Amino acid sequence: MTRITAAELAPRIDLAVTAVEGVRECYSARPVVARALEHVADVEGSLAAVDDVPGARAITVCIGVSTEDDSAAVATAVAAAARGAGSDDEPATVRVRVARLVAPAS
Amino acid sequence: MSEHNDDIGGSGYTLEDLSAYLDRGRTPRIPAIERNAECQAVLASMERMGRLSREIVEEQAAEPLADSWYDSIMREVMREFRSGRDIPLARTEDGTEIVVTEGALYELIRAVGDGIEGVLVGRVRLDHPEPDAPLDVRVTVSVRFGRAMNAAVDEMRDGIRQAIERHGDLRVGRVDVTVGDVHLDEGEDE
Repeated sequence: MTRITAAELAPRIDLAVTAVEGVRECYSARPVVARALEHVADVEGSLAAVDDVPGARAITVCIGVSTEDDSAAVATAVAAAARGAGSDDEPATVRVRVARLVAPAS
Repeated sequence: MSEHNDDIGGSGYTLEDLSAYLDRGRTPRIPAIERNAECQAVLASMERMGRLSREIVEEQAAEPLADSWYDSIMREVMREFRSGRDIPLARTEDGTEIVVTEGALYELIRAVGDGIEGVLVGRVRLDHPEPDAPLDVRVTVSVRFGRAMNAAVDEMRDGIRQAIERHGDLRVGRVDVTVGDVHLDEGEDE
C-alpha cells in the first residue's frame, strides 16, 4: 500500500476528529513556530500535528469537550478516529490533548 | 498584531488584542485566534465577564464598575488559562496518550462556580505534585450577602469534586474553598 505523507494525512485526521461525537471544538496541535509561520503567511494549515518519521509516525490532536461528557471517553474515540484516518497501516503513536472543557450554553 | 510579550497561547495576540477582536464581533475572522484553545478560553471568559458586568450594572446602577476590576479578573483568568502542564487523563492498551491541560481544569472549576447561585469565583489554584497523585484544589470565592456561606462552600466543594472526577482517571484530594469576600446584588444597597 502506498504510504501517505503527513501533509495528506493531517487534513484527513481533522475531518475524522471533527466527526467524533462529543467533540465540541478542535484546535491547532501544531508547534508554535508552525502556527506563527501560518499566521505570517496568512494560510490555514491543518489542525492535527503529524510528525512523519518512517516507522514512527506521531499524531497529536487538540480538542475541546463539553463539561457534561467524560472527556477521556471522547478522547479515546478521537484517538481511534485519528488512527483510522490513515489508510496505509503505518504504525502511529497518538496523543490526544483535551485543551478545553466547555460549559454548555445556558 | 501587538508586539507585547504577553501573547496568549503562542497566538501572537495579547489580552487587549482579544478584547478588541471581541468588540469587533470577531470579524474579520482571525484563524490564529479561532484555532487556538487558550485564545478561545479567554474569549469565552471575556464574554462571561461582559454578561456579568452588564447584570451588575443593571441591577445596582449605583456606580459604574471600575476598569481595574474587570482588568484584574481578566488577568487572573488569562494567567489560569495558559494551558500549563498536561495532566494524564487515561491510559489505553494501544499506547494512546490522553491528557487534559491545567487550563481546561481551571475553566471547568470556574464553570462549576458559575452554576452556583450567589457565588463568584475569584482565584483558583491546582496542585498536582505527581502524575498518579490526586489533584488538590484551592478556590477563593465571593458569596452574595445573605446567602448561607457553609451551604455555598459545600455546594462548591462537591461540585468541583464531581465535575473533575467525571473525567477519566482524574481523582480529587483536598478541595479548600475560602470565602474571601461578600458581595451585594439584586438591587441591594451597599
